[in-house]
Amino acid sequence: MPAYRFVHAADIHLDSPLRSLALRNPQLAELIGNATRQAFVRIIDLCLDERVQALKLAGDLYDGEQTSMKTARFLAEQLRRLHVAGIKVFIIRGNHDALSKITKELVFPETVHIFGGRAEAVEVVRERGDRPIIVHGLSFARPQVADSLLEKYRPPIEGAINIGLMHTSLDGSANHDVYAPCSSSDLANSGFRYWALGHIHKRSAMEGSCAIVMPGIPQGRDVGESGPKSVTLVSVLDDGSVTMEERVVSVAQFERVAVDATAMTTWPDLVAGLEIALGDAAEKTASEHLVARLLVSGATPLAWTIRRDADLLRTEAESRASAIGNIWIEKFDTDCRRPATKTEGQSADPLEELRKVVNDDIIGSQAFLGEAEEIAKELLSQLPSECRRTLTPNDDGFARFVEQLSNEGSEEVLARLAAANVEGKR
Amino acid sequence: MRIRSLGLKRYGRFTDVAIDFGETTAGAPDLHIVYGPNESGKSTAVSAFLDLLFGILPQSKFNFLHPYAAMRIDADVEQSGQVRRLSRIKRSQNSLLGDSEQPVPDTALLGNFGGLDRGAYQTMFCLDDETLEAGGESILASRGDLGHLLFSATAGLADLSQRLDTARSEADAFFRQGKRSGELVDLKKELTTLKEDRDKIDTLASEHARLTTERDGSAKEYNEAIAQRGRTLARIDEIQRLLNALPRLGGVRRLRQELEPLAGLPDIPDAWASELPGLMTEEIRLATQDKTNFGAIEELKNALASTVVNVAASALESRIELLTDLRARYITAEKDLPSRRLQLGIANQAIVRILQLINQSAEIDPERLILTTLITGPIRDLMEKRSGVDTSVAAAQAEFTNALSVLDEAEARLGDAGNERDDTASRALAAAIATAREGDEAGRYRAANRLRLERAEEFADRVLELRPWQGDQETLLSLTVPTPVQIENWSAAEASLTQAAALQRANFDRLTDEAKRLDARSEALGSVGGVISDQEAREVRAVREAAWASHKAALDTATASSFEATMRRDDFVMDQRFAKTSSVAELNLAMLERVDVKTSIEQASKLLQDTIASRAAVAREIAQSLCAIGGGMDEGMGLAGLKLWLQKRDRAIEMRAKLMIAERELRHAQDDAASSREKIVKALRTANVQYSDDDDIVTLLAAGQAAIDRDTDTRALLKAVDDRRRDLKSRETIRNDALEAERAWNRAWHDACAACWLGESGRSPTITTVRETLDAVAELGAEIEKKAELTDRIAKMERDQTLFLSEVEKFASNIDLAFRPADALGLCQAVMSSVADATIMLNRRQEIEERLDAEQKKGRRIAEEMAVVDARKKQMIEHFGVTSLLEVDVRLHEVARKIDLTKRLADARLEVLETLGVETIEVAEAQLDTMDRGALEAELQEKKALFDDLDQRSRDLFSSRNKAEDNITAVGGDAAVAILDEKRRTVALLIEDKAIAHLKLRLGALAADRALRAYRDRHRSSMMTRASESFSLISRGAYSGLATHPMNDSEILIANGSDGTSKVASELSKGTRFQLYLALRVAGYHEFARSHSPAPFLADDIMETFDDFRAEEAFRLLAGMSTVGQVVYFTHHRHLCEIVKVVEPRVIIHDL
Repeated sequence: MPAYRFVHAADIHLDSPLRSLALRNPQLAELIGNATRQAFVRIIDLCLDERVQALKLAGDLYDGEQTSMKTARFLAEQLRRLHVAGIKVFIIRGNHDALSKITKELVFPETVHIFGGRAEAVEVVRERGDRPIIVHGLSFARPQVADSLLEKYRPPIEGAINIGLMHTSLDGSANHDVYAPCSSSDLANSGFRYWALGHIHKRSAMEGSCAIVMPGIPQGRDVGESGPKSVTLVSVLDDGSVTMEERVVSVAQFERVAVDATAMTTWPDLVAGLEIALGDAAEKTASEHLVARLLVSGATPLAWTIRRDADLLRTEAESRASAIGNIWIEKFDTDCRRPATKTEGQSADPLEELRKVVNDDIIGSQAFLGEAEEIAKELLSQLPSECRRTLTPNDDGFARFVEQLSNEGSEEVLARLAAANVEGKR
Repeated sequence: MRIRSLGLKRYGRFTDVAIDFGETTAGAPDLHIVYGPNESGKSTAVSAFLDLLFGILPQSKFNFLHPYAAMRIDADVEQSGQVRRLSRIKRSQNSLLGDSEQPVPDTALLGNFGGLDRGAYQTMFCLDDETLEAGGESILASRGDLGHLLFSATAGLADLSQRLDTARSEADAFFRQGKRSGELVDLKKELTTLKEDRDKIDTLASEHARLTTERDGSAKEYNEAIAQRGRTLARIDEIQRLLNALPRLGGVRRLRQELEPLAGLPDIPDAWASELPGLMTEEIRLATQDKTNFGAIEELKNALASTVVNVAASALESRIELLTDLRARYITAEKDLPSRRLQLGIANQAIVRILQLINQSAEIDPERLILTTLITGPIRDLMEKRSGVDTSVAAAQAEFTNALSVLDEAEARLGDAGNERDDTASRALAAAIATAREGDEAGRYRAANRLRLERAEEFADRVLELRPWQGDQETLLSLTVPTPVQIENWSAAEASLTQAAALQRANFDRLTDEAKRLDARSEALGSVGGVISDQEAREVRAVREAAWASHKAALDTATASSFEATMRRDDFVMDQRFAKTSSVAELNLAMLERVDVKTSIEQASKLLQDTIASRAAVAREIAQSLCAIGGGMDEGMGLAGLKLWLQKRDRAIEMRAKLMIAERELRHAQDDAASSREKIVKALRTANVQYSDDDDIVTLLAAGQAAIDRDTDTRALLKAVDDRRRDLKSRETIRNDALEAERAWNRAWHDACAACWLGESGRSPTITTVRETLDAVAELGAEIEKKAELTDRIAKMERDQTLFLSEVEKFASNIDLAFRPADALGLCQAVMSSVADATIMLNRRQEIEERLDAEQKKGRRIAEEMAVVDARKKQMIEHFGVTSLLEVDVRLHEVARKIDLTKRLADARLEVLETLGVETIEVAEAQLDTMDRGALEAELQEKKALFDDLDQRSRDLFSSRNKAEDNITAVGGDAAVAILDEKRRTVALLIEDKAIAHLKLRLGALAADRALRAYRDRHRSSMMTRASESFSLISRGAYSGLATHPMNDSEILIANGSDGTSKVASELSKGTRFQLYLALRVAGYHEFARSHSPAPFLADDIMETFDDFRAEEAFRLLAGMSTVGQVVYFTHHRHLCEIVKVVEPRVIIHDL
């Protein structure tokens, strides 16, 4: 009973740049630059190594604004490798690449099937006597699709194994816009054996009489897309049984590495804590590289030292990371507070008192906020528009943005004021 | 929190030292002064205090005595009424230990310090010169921002404004309004550059579409052009063919005509034409060869007949070699034999001579005399040993004799020496002498005696110095002299009395002068006309009153006129006085003053007299004291003389004490010397050594030493005689052994000689005889051997000669010799040449027979070949019906021409058919005969021109199509654009990140500024009041207080002087500034204490720049603080302790 094996991937987002300050390090940029390409090459390699019959790509091959033909060329080159090996490719378009001009410019070999804006059902060529397998697909004709596409698909063929490709936000996800929503129960009841989905960048898989798999993006692009990223290797037998394997293809993975500095009282403790946290993170990493965003938090007497000497701490972390190997520090954040002092009446330390004044009387006062907003506007007006948009997407956020920066900024400045040129602290 | 006891367990120079601050009592100040001179460890203690609170610094310098691991500070700490024992050790963490050495968190100590860290605490509450000044400087450096200033003072923050400035300038480095440089500008530039780079290399989808269209268009046009070009080329080819076919058809027709006459010739086999010339040549060659062969055969047959061979001689050829060998040996023997025979004779003579030499001429068998090695070996061995035996006998004998004489000598020497002493007594004597020498009592006695004499002289000198006093030692000691206290009192009294007397005398003199001046003045006033003194007026009045009284009593004219006169006089006086009232007043004043002065003079005089009397009394006391000393002391020498004399007396007494010591030492030395002598005498007696009782210890020692030396010598001689005897005995043994060895040798020699003919005579021959005989016998052996050899060789040579002669004879008889020589050698030569000739002949005959055979075979082969050639020749001649091969040749040439023409015709015909592309020649001839040649040529020219144009066009189109294709290929699938995009994204992220950091700093600094202002407003009044008060107090009112003055956005600190002046704080003198710094700290301390449980306040000698009065006020402030919290002041100035006692009597002073 020969198995029908295929690789299911989605949301390739070829040539979509990574968003990480760690790439300022030329060494790392060399290693993980073009990570989306590297991951895609790995998907192709996986197909070849596993000698699968097909690769199914469930939408968003690239971003909508991706207009460079080099990207399309690269895609074509990689698909040609599959063509040479006789591996079929099924592609649907998602919200991002619905209108992509670059795909239209390409001539794909006949082994590549791109589904159009009308539902199609393609039968897989098999040996005589094998159970027929039908691949269903429907591309986004335009970037926005508000309604469920499920009804538009052809009904499942009786007696055959039906596999569907669909780009959908499914039941809805916090971080993704709603596109072609449909519920997983509808899909489960559709009579299909396997739904190869795309759109949500975080993996989810549901097994059962109808397997519903959202493989996620194969290469995370920033800390928002953290964790190891993968594709799904699927094997379908004539009796209808399906086995799925998750295969990690991400070159680098982004992680938030948290260090709890509560009760740490000396600098060496803190550095040791950092090292342990980095070591743990490294152990759990499935990709070759880990790009870590460090967050030191908790109530510690070192809070202000940490803020003031964040650069030193970052250097420490980098040297520890370099010793562990393949870990890169993207950013160093802290939200440590000094432990509350147990004194009756007003705060003991004048700095604490000053901080209280800042928190209670200054920030939040109209006079201060007015001046602070002026300062922020003045800077924002000088920023490139893309940066401006990222920092303050709309006016509502602006006031909150200023207030948050004022809070953090005053904490930082107070930390700098704290006289602690005492050697014992470090 | 307060420290009840600070235990410097192991810290710096301290080991187990504790400073106990004790308990506090309510209402009493908690003020402590720790006094210690320089280097006593005050700073160490202060540092220990800090280390206790905040931990020992990693690079602490207080490990010079106790290593880091051992450092420890203990403390009893009071907190909220509880006392707790805490210890601090040096460790990176968990360094604070509580009960049973368990770590406790630092908050156990610092819990209510309100987050003050080490730096802040040090700047604020743990002051030394350095921190007082540094902190103060930074307070003033806040450039007049009072908020900062107050805040700094309270928080103990140094460089507050500098830190804020650093934050701001850090923010400005990124972006600053109106500035065209900075990080942001650079990053934006980078972004633009990246975008430009990307646009340069990128190909957009639309551009790609354009390229594709361009490529497809070019390809289509190219294909069309190529097609048209092909059609034109085909037509040109066709015309070309027709034109080319015309001359070829002419050629066909010509060949047809030429072939016609040759049609009748018969066909021949193909090979004939080539075979014929070979056949003709072969025929001639074979005829020549046949002839030569016949001649050669005839010649060889003749030669064979003339060759004859001697068969008998040739049969001997194999044996001729043996004969040659025999001949050579014959010749050698002939030559050698005479000399061999001569040698044999010489050998015989030599044997006879040797036999004579060894006295054996009669010996018939000389070989018997030759001795085997079995016999000569032992004999030679004995001969070699003989000289050794002789030598050892001689040496042993000589040494024995020598030892005998040495023994005699030693015995003679011993005889001279006396008998031996008892060993124990001798050793005791030696020990006694050694002890005595070691002790050196005699030396000590001499030294002590010398020292005593010196001391006695010095003491006598000292006593002489005491003159005029005279007396002996005991008197000197027992003298009654005034005590030092007495002297001191006299000294003081005399000094004060003298000073008082001087003052009083001066006063008295001044008063006297004043009196004189007043007298002069009243006299002067009195002498002025009309000026009447009160006294005078009173006198006049008294006279008038007296006149009135007498008038009243008498009431007569006389009294009346008298009264009138006095009345008038009084009136006149009164008038005068009224007229000169001021003069009168002045005069009165002068007179009054004069009276005062007079009283003063009297008082002064009395005081002076008293003083002088007191002084005299003191002088008398001194004189009495001098008198009491007696011994002819000069009573008038006064106090100074007495003091000097007393000092001399002290020195004399001191010298006397030294003299006493010297005498005591001398006595000890004498005793020791006597005891030592006693011991020696005893030892001498025991050892039986002669000595005299009068001998001193040195002589005794010498005598004892001599006795010991003698004993040593005697013992040495005895030992020598013993050694000699032992030696003689061993020598004797050796000599006997040698003699025995000699006898054994003699026996062996005799035996050896007896074993051979040497001993045949019955007596052993001497060594010399044997040595000679052995040599001769060796020579004899050689000669006998030589003789045997020669005899043998001569016999062999003679045998060889006989053999040769018989063999030659045998050969000669076998061959029939033509000539037979007489001598053996000649005959041999003849035989050998005869055999050699026969062999040559035999070889020649065999060679001729072989050649003949070869020639006969060759003749047979030539005959066969001639038969084949003849058969072929016959066939050809018959075919053409001719007679000779030459005629055959002519016919063959004609046949070849016919074949050539037929072939050329076929070729030409085929060419025409191919050119025109038709099937048969008939069709071609018909076609060509009908065509118009002129029209065709014109069309050809036209088409050729058209073709050139089309060719060029297609080439152009081909290139443009390729170019379009290349453009598309050049797009490539590389990541260059993606990399640039990623870089741009990263730069944008960096800008965002830095923008946020920039905003944080700016907004944070803004908030801090505003907060500081709010802080100032909140704290100014109480803090300023207290700082102001403190500053006024500490400057002892030189400054009335502090004030602030607004300037720009902020305020500056002003010190108000009591004289109404005011100064900016930074312009105060150093001392005053320090006072201001301290005042600010004091105010800060109270501020701090208002909201917290107070921290201990420590200061390490911070008042170096304060005078005593300011120090006093400063202590008053500290005392004030000590009612709030614990105050500890470390100092090395004793006077400060006194000052602080005045300020606060309840202060506790600790000595370090």
